[in-house]
Amino acid sequence: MGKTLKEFLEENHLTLNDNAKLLFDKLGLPKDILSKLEEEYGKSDKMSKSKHNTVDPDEMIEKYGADTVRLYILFAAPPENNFDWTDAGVEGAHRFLKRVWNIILENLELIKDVEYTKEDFKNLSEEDQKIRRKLHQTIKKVNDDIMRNYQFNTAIASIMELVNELYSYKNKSPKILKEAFENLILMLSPFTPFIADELWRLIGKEGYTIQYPFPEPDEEALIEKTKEIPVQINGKVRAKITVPADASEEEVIETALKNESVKKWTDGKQIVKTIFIKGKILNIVVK
Amino acid sequence: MKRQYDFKDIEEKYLKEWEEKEIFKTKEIKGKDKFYVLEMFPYPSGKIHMGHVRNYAIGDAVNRYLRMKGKNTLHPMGWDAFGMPAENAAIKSGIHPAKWTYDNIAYMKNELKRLGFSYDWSREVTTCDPEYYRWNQWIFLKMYERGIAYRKTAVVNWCPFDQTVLANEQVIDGRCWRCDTEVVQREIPSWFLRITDYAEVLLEDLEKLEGKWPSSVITMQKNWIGKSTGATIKFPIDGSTQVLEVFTTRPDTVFGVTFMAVAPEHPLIPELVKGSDYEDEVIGFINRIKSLSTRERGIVEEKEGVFTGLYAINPLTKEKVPIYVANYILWGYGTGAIMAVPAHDQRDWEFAKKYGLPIKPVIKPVDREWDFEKGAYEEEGILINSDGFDGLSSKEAKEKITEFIEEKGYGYKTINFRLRDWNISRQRYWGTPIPIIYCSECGTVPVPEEDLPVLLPENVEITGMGNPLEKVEEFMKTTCPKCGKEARRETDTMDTFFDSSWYFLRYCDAHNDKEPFSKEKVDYWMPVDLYIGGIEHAVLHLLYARFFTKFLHEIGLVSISEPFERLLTQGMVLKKWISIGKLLEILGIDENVDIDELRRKIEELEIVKK
Ligand SMILES: [Zn+2]
Ligand SMILES: [Zn+2]
Repeated sequence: MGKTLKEFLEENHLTLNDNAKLLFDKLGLPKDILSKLEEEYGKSDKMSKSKHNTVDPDEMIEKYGADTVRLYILFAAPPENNFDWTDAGVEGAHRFLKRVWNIILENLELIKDVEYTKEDFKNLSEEDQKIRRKLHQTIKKVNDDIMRNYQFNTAIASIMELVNELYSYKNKSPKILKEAFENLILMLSPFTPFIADELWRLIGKEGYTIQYPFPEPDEEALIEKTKEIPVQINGKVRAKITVPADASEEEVIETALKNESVKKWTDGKQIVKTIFIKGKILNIVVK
Repeated sequence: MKRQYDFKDIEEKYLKEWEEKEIFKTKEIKGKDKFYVLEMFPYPSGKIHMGHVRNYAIGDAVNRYLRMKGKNTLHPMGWDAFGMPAENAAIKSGIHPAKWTYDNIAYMKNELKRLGFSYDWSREVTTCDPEYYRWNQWIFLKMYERGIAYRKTAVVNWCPFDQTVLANEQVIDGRCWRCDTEVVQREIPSWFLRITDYAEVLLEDLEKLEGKWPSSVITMQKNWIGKSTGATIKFPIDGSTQVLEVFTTRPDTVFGVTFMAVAPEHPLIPELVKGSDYEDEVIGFINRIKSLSTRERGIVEEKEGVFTGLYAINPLTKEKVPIYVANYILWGYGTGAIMAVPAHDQRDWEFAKKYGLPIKPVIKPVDREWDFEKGAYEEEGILINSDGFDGLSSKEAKEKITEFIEEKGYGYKTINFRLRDWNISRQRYWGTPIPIIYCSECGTVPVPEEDLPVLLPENVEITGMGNPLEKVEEFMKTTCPKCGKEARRETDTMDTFFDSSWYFLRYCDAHNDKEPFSKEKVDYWMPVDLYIGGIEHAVLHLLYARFFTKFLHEIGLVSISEPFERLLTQGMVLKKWISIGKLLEILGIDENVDIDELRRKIEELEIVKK
């Protein structure tokens, strides 16, 4: 029979009110179990030495870097709200920066010597248009969120979404990627200036990001030029067609009736009526 | 092979480059839109904590963003470097406060740099640097010239063993933090700033901040200033030529007065009870209450008092009512005496119940009954038992009765503030010396401007007994600037809130050795467009900074009248934790569990979770 916990606590001058972290340390138990327990059952408190629930900034910088610490703090909550520091949160911020790093480095050769002008973005494929629209929507949102009460958390969240979309962008047009990366780096600069400056240099730019103007949205790119809308035949979706965003009912019906999947259900039938909601859906009733 | 994200390498490289290229330096550029973003400067306690990081990360993102948007931004940092912890460290470990402070600053500055904050470090301000605090002294002299700084006695916590004044946080359960001796209250001469002269404008100008400062902060400042309108009423003391003046916000209840209560410090009482049968008991009570520490006085629950044998005459009813000394009346608020209306004030009600004094209702609720045996009715209502004023509403009666009192010469309309003058005297070493000399011939003499700074002597012994400066003879002994005779220096130093009341102005012109700052530079940068800090500074620091700005505006040093255009009070960084007790609860075991069994249970948990 070994020692009881009671004896162990007395030996180590611990009480039941002390932080379980001290017991984990003494017993050499894995920290990740404790983190999970804290997240699940823990009590939120102001960091204090007496409660042993402090997180040391120096340690965090050593482990993840200053950019990660800054990004996490700004992303975790609106500036005026309290938030709980979590290991999962800071790790998430770190993973995001790695994703930014990786996607730019993976495409470095592709974009390095590329130059572009607005003229290059005139006649784009649908996918290209879509990713550009996402980029400029993000630029708009980041500016709006910061100007509106310094809501960095939602600004950063939208940058994260943009990075996700860039990962699923298949066409990889060098000019479009170059534009996206440049703006992405500049948008990150106020939050994570170190990685921003390094990536800036890697894509072939000079100086420091703080010396460049913050991105402004290209209003034209924000306009949705084409739209994909579902076509229902007798209440069931049978196809999706792409039409100009401002297309009229006649134009949409015309396009729909040329579509092979739609034809299958309408050929040889009589069209009783059509219901069209602009930009949303076309419903065709046949007999 | 693709390069990995090596943050350490990258961050170190750019820290060096940014510093070498001085890319965060700012200067005034006429015609370019400016933006001044400021985070509350830290006390150099040793290491930064996550709360600091959050505060500064917000400011840094704002600064970098607005720079990129084309604004000419000012983003400085400095150190609120005087104060008690340095002196306490000296008492405990013998290290000199200056060394302790400057070592901490060096360490923390490095931490801030490591985080990549875009400060213009060439504007760094350190309040314990004579180049800074000489201007504290200069501003003090300007205040002295205009009667804003003045000397009067103040009540302080005193440790009779250490022969020293204690700050509130050095009094633990009524005892000295060092020697456990019971703390007493003592009156000593102290320097005050007449912030109450600015009460009205400090209150009024809060309106300009609506929508730009958090409304909670505006409310806290309003309450702190605490404006109330009412009447001062003179109650003649029966059988004496003296009168007892009271201030009340409820003149509508004056017909319900059944006794008077005065603070133990009230100077009239010892004089009037002298030689009477009541003298011993009254003086005994007064001494007992006065010996409590300020903090203990603040938390007394039980109302206590003693009858003085004296009566006052209610000028409106001509009734004689007894005068009590009571522990719940504070000297320094209003007149230190109250007309007690137990029917309509709960504290008076409790006191009346305890001492068997009458309860006379003079206000009735508009729409319900009230049982005065159960407690006081404190709200407004309709007047009863009030002679010619019966039937009026409280609101009308307040005005009518005040007018009546003024007409009859019983008193006058009064606006009262809760705000007190600011006691800036600290009987400690690590602060700005107050630039005053005492001469037996000429009295109180301000140090001439050209003799500033009055340097804090380095060679001191800090023991925690008494004020260290009193033992430094070469500091204490001086000559009178007026008559040249031997004279004595003031040994009090300034409250560190003085230092932080104008540091944001010094950043605009941090190296000026002719004046605290040039008006031109301050006019270019001020106001601070965004000020970021914790809500704990909602009242004192932010109110004092507003007060200083108004004073400096008045003497023509700055054009602005409010220092902080927008205020952002950032939230806290919290951390979840569980106690050992809670852990046992989760595992469903108690502390008699075998250690190996405990280990096994915890490790099993992990399996469950995966
Ligand atoms: Zn003591
Ligand atoms: Zn003299």
